Amino acid sequence: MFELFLTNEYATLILLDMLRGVFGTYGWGLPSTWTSTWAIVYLEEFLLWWLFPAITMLWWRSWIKKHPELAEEI
Amino acid sequence: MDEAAFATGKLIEGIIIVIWIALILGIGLWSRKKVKASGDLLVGGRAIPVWMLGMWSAGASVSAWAFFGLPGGIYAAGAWQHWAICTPMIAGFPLTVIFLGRWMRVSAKKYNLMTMPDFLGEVYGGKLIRIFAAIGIVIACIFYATAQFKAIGVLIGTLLNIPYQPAAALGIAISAVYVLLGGFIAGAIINSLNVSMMIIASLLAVGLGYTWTGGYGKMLATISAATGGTTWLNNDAALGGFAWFFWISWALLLSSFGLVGQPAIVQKLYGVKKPSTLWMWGLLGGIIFGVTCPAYCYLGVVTKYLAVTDPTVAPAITGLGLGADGVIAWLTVYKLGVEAPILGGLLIAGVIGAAWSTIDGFIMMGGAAIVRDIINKCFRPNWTDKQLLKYLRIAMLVVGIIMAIETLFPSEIITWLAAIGWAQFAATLAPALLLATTWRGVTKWGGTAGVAVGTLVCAFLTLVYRIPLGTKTFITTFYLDAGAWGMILGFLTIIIVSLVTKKERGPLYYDIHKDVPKPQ
Repeated sequence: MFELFLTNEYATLILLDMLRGVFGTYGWGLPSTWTSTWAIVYLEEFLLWWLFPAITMLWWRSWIKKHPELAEEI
Repeated sequence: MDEAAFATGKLIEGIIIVIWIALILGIGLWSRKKVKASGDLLVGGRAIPVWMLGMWSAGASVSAWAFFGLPGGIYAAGAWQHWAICTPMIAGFPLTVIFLGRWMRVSAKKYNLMTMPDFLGEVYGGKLIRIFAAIGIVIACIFYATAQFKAIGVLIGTLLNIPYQPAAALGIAISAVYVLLGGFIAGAIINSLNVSMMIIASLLAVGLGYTWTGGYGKMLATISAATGGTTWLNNDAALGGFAWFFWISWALLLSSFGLVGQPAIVQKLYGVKKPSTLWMWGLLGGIIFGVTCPAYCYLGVVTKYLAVTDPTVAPAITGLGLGADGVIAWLTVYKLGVEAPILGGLLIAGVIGAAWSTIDGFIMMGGAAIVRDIINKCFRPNWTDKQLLKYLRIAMLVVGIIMAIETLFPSEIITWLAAIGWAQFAATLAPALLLATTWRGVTKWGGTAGVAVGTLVCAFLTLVYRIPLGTKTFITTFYLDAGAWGMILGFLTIIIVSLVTKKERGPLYYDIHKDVPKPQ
């Protein structure tokens, strides 16, 4: 299941594909044979990329609540 | 084509756009009374709700590049551009908040910060860093702004059957009017509406693509089976084996960390009402960008699918005489104009809104770079605020007129014009901004040299080496590495020069790095 998840995550997949070029073994391109729906691809983009702003910014929110003096005008 | 249906469809789309323009101008007129000082014009009196600024910054980052240029670039050169350029940019928003945002906002009142060169000048000290940064901003503005008004000109021109130049000038004039009247306050309100329209248009685009193609896998398999389809899908074939370098230079440097150096996006942080709410800006910016940009990239892939399944599509796009820029114009005006004009009108409004959200920032930024960063801060420090406000408005008008004149020159395809502008901003500003808050070893001359090197390396590689290759070669060997080299050498220069020069710094440096004793 996890590998299916990863192969639908195109941004990560293309990074791996492109990094293969460092060793001269590049070039499978977009995996047209690994069929998926746009909705799943889009959802996985959401999970792997949009989670970054969500997690980091919620962390930042709790951090600034613990240190309110850091959010005051200097 | 059913001519009667096409004429009716164009009329409906035209009415939607005219209503949209009237609404935008009305808000500009309404907010003019709220602008009483230079701070109101440039940063909205630092009292704008954070959600509005998050939406505006997201719109400025998406810009006409993602809504217009990128689908065209994807159609012409390959789907890999979506995943390698667009998606990693989502990470740029939280990175900006973490590394830079808090210091920009909490020091804004004390040092009266309104522009990015302001921040650099107060951290590193000296006039030269402001001047080099302003020069880099002006160079980047020319490329980036050209991409925006080209998109507006192509769309309004195709819709109203008027030539590209007057259509683009009309688009710029509308933006200039609301910026000159209502400045930052008008921009914040108008762009909340623009971005709402962008989100609606993006969701519609995804649904539309699904109904036309019958799913993503089927679409890719069909393209792959068509002549030349495999090359189009294979990023390495498109990039001549240098795809990995492209990913590193764009995804890892320019798209993500490079966002820190985009004044049209990041300068909005000065206007946030409460510094503790900055997290909302990072969250909204990242998520709105993540919803909207991939959806329009998807339309580029969908158009490719339509072109390989229907032999009339590619000649129809080519027939517009706009090259790859004709993709969204054909899709919205010619295809949707007949099949679903209301949807077409909303998609066009989304693209124009995205372009405006960036053009207004450039008009403000270009005017501020000349009048505030160079003349006021370096040569005329005794101006009253009233004088500054007057000259800012004049400079913004001049910048708007220069942009309108730029439409007279033929420009190349939108995706790489905008990409060059983005890369120039990143190379000029990102290294000095990131190191200002994270490394206490920076010095006045390190920062100044770093900004100068970043600006010059990127401008030199772009103007002397990359552009003469021409669009065709440029796209097929689309490294766009000029900005990445500028950024890397900018970082190295700041570090090396800072290590060997006298420890002179600006006053804000000692607020950020409290453990470093202030010289007496």
